[in-house]
Amino acid sequence: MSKAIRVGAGQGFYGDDPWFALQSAKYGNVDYMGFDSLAELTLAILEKARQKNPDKGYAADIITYANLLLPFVKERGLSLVTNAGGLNPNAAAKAVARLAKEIDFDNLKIATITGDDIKGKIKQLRQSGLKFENLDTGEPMPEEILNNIIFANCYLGALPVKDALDRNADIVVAGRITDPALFAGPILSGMNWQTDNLDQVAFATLLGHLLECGGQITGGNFSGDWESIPNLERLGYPIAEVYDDLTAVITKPEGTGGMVSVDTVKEQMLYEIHDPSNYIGPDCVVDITSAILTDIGKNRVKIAGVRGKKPPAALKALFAYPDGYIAEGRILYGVPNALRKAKAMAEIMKKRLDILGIKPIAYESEFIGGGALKRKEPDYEPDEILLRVAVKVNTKEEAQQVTKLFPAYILDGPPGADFFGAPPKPRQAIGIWSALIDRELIERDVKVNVKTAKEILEA
Amino acid sequence: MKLFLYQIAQVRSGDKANDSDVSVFAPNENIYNFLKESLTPAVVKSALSSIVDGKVVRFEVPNLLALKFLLTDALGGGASGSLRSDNLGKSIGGIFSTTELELPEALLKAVHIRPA
Repeated sequence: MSKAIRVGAGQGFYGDDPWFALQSAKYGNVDYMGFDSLAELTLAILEKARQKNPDKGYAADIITYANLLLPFVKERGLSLVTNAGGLNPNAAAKAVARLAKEIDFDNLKIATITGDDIKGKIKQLRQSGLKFENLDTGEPMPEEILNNIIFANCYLGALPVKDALDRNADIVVAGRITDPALFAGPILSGMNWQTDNLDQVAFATLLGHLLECGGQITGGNFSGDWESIPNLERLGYPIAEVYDDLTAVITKPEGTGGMVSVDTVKEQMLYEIHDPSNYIGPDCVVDITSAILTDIGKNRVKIAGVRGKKPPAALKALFAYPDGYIAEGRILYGVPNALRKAKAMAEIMKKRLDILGIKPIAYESEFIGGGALKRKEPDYEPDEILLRVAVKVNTKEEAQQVTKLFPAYILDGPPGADFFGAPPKPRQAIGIWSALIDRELIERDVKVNVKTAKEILEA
Repeated sequence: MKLFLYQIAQVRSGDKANDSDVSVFAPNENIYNFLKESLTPAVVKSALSSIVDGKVVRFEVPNLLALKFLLTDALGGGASGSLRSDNLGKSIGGIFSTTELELPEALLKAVHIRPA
């Protein structure tokens, strides 16, 4: 197998620690790195930011990462792919261009991918007869949701990323593309694989899936003999070394902690994919039921045998809508009878809401230290219980009222309650409506623009 | 021998909208076959009945000696709207892995049994 390219994971989620990416850039000998900055809640926050200021709406992480890594792009030809463009890839590109100028890197080639954000054309799509039937229930989207959309994005795949990199982009700034596409795009471009070769597309997609969660494949969140994983304090993020015979090696940078073994890789391989023979993405359907994993050396796992099937005719879209507000608070109780005290307090809280005329949409009381995660009562007497009450209500004002109740009941409730810290501020709850949309209707508006930093700043 | 599932298998869970998925990995083929017999969807549903409101669907992945369970309606509304502490289902695998099994003596050979 002739050696080809190395693709590294730089970021697993919004707010991740950039130290990991820096290790891969410095010691990982990577040609490409991918960065995942978006979650559903992140997009909701970005939409608020964009409404306040049309130059915002991208994930601020991109500044941190570009600052750290642009020198590697300039000096070593490293290429970066990120979804931190969020709801405003053009504004994010401009921010990156400014950083490039600061280090005299005017010819940095920045690509933007747009067309995933469909909020602006929902009404038009609706008028053309689309009902946005719910993916789970089949129910057409109600008017009430349609008229209150916070954000609406379609998941794009790796092909626009490949296109951008084929046109020599140094950094690709996308919005809502799938997480595997952040890596599959570089693999398809770097290997010069063809998009109509489904086994190649599927292999690139699966490698993307292995890289998308950062340290979860190199010893993080490892459910096996987790105490044997060395040096998590300097965990290495994964790197895929891809060969042109449709094999790859998963590894990590020299000198970092963690572990890559068949056992760590297989956990990530099945993680959050539903049917292993039909892992559906925009570019193909991946079948991993014939995949073979082999330990071939220390922290080196070979992967082969992934098969691809035809891509779906429709793309998945997420529509977010306001779904009330969540208030929560915690009170800590000690012995004797910690659990009884916490349970009594949870009941008092319910009655108190009644008196205030607040009718929660949902109410959850958890007894942390007493079976909260199992959602079952323990058969022993715990030394202390952290009562956590979370309430979903219709308005922000109601949520604020609920939040205020917690400090008061340190003194006004069962004895020995401890102040566990101020309750978090109420937050908006986001409802997510998923639907499929004929890909033709989306892809005709997808645009890949490649410009230098200089061109962007002069425009 | 009576033991917990986590002493012989890896179990990781995650989320997708309001569903959770749990993967169970056996250390060898004999144990995989044993788990395939033991861990039916009904067993999983009953072990997690306080968490899972929907149904349990099982996928067999013999090439990874794995069983995969899709648990529907398992997160109290899904990441962005759920009121649960574990709105992402990360702890569900661990909870399931405390299921007790009666492992036949013949299968004990060549298996590393982790401490309880």
